[in-house]
Amino acid sequence: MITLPRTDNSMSRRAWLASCGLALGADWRFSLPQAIAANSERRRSCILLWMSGGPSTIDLWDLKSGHQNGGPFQEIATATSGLKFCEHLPQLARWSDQLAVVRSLTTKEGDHERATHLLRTGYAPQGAIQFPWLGALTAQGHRSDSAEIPPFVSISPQRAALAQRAGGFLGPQLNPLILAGDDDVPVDQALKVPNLAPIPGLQFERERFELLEKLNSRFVSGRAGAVERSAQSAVRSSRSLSQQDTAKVFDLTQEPDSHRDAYGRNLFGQGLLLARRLVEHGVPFVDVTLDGWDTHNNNFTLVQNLVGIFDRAWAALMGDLKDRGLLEQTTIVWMGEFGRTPKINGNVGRDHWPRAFSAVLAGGGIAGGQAYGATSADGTTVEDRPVSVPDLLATICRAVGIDPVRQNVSNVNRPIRVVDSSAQVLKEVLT
Amino acid sequence: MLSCISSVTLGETPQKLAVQIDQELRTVWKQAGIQIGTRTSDAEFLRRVTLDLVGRIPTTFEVREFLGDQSPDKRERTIDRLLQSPEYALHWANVWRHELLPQSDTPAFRNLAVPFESWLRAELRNKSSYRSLVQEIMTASMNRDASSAAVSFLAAAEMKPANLAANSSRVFLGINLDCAQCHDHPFARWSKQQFWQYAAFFTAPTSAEGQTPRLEIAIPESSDVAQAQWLTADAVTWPASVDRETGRRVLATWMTSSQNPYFARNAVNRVWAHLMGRGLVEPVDDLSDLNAPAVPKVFDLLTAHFIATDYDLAMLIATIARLEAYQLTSASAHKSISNTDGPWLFQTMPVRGLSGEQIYSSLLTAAGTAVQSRETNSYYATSDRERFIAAFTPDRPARAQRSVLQALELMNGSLSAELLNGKTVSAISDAPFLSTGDKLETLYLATLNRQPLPEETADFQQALPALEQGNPDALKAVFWVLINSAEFGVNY
Repeated sequence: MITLPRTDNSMSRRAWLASCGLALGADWRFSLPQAIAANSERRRSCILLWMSGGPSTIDLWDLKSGHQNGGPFQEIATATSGLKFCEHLPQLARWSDQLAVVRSLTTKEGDHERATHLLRTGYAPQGAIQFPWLGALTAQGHRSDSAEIPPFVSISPQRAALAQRAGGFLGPQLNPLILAGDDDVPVDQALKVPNLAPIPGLQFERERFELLEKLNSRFVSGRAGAVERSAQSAVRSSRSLSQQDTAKVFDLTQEPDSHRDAYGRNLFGQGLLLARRLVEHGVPFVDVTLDGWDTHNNNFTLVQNLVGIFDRAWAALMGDLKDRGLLEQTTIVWMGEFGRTPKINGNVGRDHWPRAFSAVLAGGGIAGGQAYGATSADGTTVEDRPVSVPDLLATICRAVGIDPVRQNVSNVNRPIRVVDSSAQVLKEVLT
Repeated sequence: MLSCISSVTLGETPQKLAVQIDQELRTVWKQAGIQIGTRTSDAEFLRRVTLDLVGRIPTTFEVREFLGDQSPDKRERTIDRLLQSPEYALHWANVWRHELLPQSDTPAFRNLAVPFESWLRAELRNKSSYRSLVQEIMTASMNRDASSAAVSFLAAAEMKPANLAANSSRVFLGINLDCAQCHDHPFARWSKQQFWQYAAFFTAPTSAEGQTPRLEIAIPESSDVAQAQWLTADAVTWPASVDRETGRRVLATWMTSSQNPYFARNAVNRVWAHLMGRGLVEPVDDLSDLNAPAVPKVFDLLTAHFIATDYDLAMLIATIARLEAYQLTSASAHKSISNTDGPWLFQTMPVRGLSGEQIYSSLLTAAGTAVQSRETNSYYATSDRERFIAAFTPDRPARAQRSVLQALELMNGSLSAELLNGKTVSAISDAPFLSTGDKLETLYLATLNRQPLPEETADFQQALPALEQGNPDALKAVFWVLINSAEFGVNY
C-alpha cells in the first residue's frame, strides 16, 4: 500500500480529528501541539552513542569468563561493587555508578537494516509507514522556527541517506542536521558546517529571505509532499544556522588542545566533544556513530580497537558534562542494532545475535551503578527480566521527559504512539 | 503476451500504446472512485519533461518557443526531439550508472564512476538495446587487454560471487536476495540454498578427470555445496566446452531471456519509477509475488511492448512521457487526491527530488552557460562539480529531501556566487531599456521556466525598488531568490 507521505503533521492531525468527528477532550491521549507545549516538563537533552554494525556486548558489558564462549578478554572490577566490565573499559569502569547496563535486551531482528530501523524508531519496518527516529521524536515539541540549530543533529551517521529522512512522518523540519556524513575528509574538516558565511557582497539580505519565504509558501500550499516542504524548511533552518554566534558552536578550535586530546583525536571522540557543545547550547538530541562493529571475522582485535576509542571518548564526555553541571540534564544512551553470537565462529569472529544483548543508559534520570536483567551462563538467552526495544525506548523517553504514549498521525493516517503500547518502562533504571 | 503491437509501425507505437494505457488507467480510476489531478500547463510540462529526458531545466529560448507553439502535437514532438538529442544519452547514462552501480557513489569505488558512465553513454548513443547492455555487463571479460568499462559492475563487487549474486539479482531482476545470503528469512521467498545456487554461476568451473565440469560453491558456515541453479525451476543447459567465464555467460542468457519473468519487468518498473515518482511495484527491489503491482494490466502492456521492441529504452520513455498520468500536475486542487488511504494509482504526479547532476546542470542553464560545453571529459573531471554533486546525491532522487547542508550550499556556496555573475544576470544589466516587468520575466523564464504571477511581480517590485534602475545588486538578489526557491530545486 503506497500513499504520499504526510509532512505538515499538525495540519493533518487537525484534519484527521475533524474527519473522525472527534471532539477535543474526548480522549486525553490525543493532544494538540499547543497542549503538548503547555504540559511539557523540563526536558533533558539526549546524546546517543550509536554503535553501528552490531557491537559484541558479550565482550564488553556481560562477559562470560570461564565459559568457552567467553573469549580472551578478562573482567575487571568497576567503581561499583559487584559490577564488572571488560578489561578494556578502564576509564568507564570509574564511571560505573552513573551507568545502568541493561543486559537483557532481546529482539527478533538479525538483519542490519531491519534491526537498525527497530532500534532507532522503536518499530520494525512496516511497508509504507515512515517511522521517525528517536532523535526526531525527542526533538518534536522543541521545534520552533526561531531555533538557531536544528534540534536533532546526527554526527557521522553510517548511511547519511537514511539519516536524512529520519524525521519520517513528523515532517522534514525534524530531519537531522548531518555532519560528516559519508565522507572521507580529515577529522578537523569533517565536523564543520560548510558554507555558513553568506556570499560576500550580496546585498538586500532581509528582502531576499522575505521574498524567498513568500515564494516557497505559495509553492508548497496545494502540494502535499515531503520533498517540497523539506526545501522550504531547510532554507529556514539554514538561515538560523548562519547567524554569527551559532557558527561558533561548531568550531572545535575553541576548545583547548588538551581537552580535544582527552576525547581522542578521531572522528568519534571529536564528535562526542561537539555533541557536548551542542547540548550545552540547548540542542535536545545528538547522535554520534562509531562504525565497524560487524565483526564476523577477527572479533577480538577489532573490538579491542573500537573499545579503546569509545572508552576514552565517553569517559571524557562524562567528566566534561559533570564539570559543567550538565550531567543531570543529559541522558546518554549507548547501543547498537544487535549483539553478537556467544559461540565464536571459525574466523575468530562472532555473527549477529539479537536474542540477548546489552545496551547502556547513563546520566540524567538514570539510576546508575547497576546491571538490569541477566543472560544465561553461555550468553545465548535472557534469563532474567527480558527487555524489548519499546521497553528501552519508553524508559529513555521518561528519562528525557517526553510522553511515550503520546500519539502522532502517521503518513498513512493511522495514529502511532511515540513508543509501541506494549512498552513497559524499566522503573528500576530510572531515578 | 505479444499483442497486436507488432502489427503497428514502430514510429506510431508509443502513441498508440500510450492511448491504450491511458484507457486502462481511466478505468482503474473510475472503479476506485478517486479524483484525479488536472493536466499540467505547458510551462509545467516542458520543465518536467526536459528535466526527465535530458537532465536539466529548459533554456529561455526553449521555453519561449514551446509556449508560443500553437500546434496540437507539440508535447509529443518535444518528447521525441529530446530523446533524439545527444543530451538524452548524457543524462540517462548518469541515471543508469546510479541505478546499476550505486557503489560508484561511495569512496571505495568512486574511480569506476566516470569510465562506466562514459561506456553507458556510448551504448545509449548507439541505441544498443537494454538487453545487450546487460549481457555486456554480465559477461565483461576480466582480461585486462580485452576489458571495457562494462567490467566496472564486476569490479564493484570485487568479483566475489556473493556480492555479484546480490547485486545482479537486485538491479537486473528486481529480486532482493540480501537476507537469503545468511539465512532463510520467514517472510522472504528465497532460501539460503537458492542464494548460493545462484551465486555459483559466478565461480569458475571445477572439473575432475572425465567428469562434466561443474559450477559449485561452498555455503559458508555449513558443510553444504551448492550447484549452479537458476532462481526459477528451469533446468540449466551447459555448453559443450566450459571455461572460466561460462557461468556468467550462461547466467546472462537466462537472465536476459524474454521468458525470464523478472528481467523486462524490472527494467520497466525502474524507468516508470523514475518518471512517475513511484514504481508500478514498490519497493523496486522486490518484484516477488508478495508485492502485487497496483495496476497490473499497465505493467503487462508496457513489459510486452518493451520486449517486442527489443528492449528499446528510448521507446519506453517515449511511451510513458505521452501518458495522461505523466502529464498530470503536482498541484492538487483537492486534498483528497493525494491523501488517499488506498493503494497509489498514479492519480496525480508527486513532486520529485532532483539528482545532484540535474541541479548542477540546471543551475548552469539558468545562469546562461551554453549547454554544449558540458560534453567534454574535463568538465566531468572538475572536482568542484564532483564535490557539489556529491553533496546532493540521494539514494532515491524521486524521494530526495533537501537537507540543511544542501540549502547552505545553494545559499552561500561558491557555485552560486559564481553564477550570480553569469550571462543571464549580466545580459539584463546591459539592457537598461527593459522595464522592471520585463527584467523579472527574463529572470523567471531563465530560472523557473515560466512567467511570473502578477502578485510575484508586485512582491519583487515592492521589496526591491532598485530594480527599476537596473541596479545589478537588485538583479542578483532576484536571481539568488529564484535559484534558492523550493520550486527551482524540485521536479514538480
